[in-house]
Amino acid sequence: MATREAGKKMIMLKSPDGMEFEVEEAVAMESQTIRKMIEDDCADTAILIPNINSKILSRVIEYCNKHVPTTGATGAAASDTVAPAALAEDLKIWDAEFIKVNRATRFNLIQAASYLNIKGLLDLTSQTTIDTISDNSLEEIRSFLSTKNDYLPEEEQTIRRENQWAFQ
Amino acid sequence: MEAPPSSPLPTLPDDIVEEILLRLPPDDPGCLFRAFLVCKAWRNAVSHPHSHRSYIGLHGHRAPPVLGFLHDWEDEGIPDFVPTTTSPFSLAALDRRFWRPLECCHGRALFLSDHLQETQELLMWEPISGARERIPVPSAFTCGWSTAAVFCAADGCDHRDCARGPFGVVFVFTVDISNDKDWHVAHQRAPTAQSRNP
Repeated sequence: MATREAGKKMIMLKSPDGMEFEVEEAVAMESQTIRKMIEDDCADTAILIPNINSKILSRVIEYCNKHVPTTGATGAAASDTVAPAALAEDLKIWDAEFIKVNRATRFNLIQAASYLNIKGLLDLTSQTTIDTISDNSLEEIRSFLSTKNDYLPEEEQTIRRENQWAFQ
Repeated sequence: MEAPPSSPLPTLPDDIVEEILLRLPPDDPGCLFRAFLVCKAWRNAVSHPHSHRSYIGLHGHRAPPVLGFLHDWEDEGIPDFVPTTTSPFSLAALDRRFWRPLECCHGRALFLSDHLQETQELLMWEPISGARERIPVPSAFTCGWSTAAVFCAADGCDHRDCARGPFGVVFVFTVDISNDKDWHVAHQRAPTAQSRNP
């Protein structure tokens, strides 16, 4: 149920496993999916977030809480007292700690970020996979992703041979 | 690398794989090839035309990356194409002994055949698609002080992905119209080549 607490509009988010999370509207609107629901007046009651369990949803809310802009009508503007560069550096360090999770959690966070349309979280969670592709051999990438190679050996050999430079 | 997980990882849906792969760095083409070979689902995500449009949409605000440069210095120790990317990107460049680079524009390079050949001709090369097309030159083109340029001829094109599309060639050459060494410059636009991929 949308409520008001200490002058801030609150939104209730529900996970499929029955947990409820009361969050500030501004925090919830870090998700473009939820923002659209709120703007379309579809958020008077609790919003059910399908396919995202309470463990992952709580991490997503933690991320949004940290990344919600600190300026605005409500609350003190942190950026009035802290230099933007320092804030950005603080967020970068925080993000690096936040993403130190196991692969299953990271994959679930990617899916949650995609469904909820939270660009910053999608960038952050995707980056580990991108780094893996950039820095490792094909075999290591497949191992990291637990992906089955469904190329025929001759298909793979042909592509490798024709583009040898990419696999050095 | 992390240790293998004890339980199977969740399988990422195709649309999310595409979201991740859109974030591959544009200045490292080797990443695209490795992603292409991970599995066939990734191959489809990398090579689908829709992915190309999304990739350009996400990275299109940046200047297109410089993949490398050609040079015609007669030194066998230096390859014809010198990559400038993170990965050792390579191209089957034209043999510099027979083809002299004239100009490049809109993802195409234009070469002139060696002047020792009986009939000079131009060759348009699209490095990314590998397409090559020979173009005859006007007879007056060989009179010296001549050059040519290639350009995209697709209507409304933003020139970020116009490979395999129609293109035009401009010739610039001098014509001796008298015996008193009075030289003029003439321009000619070649008929636009037909799109090879309509």
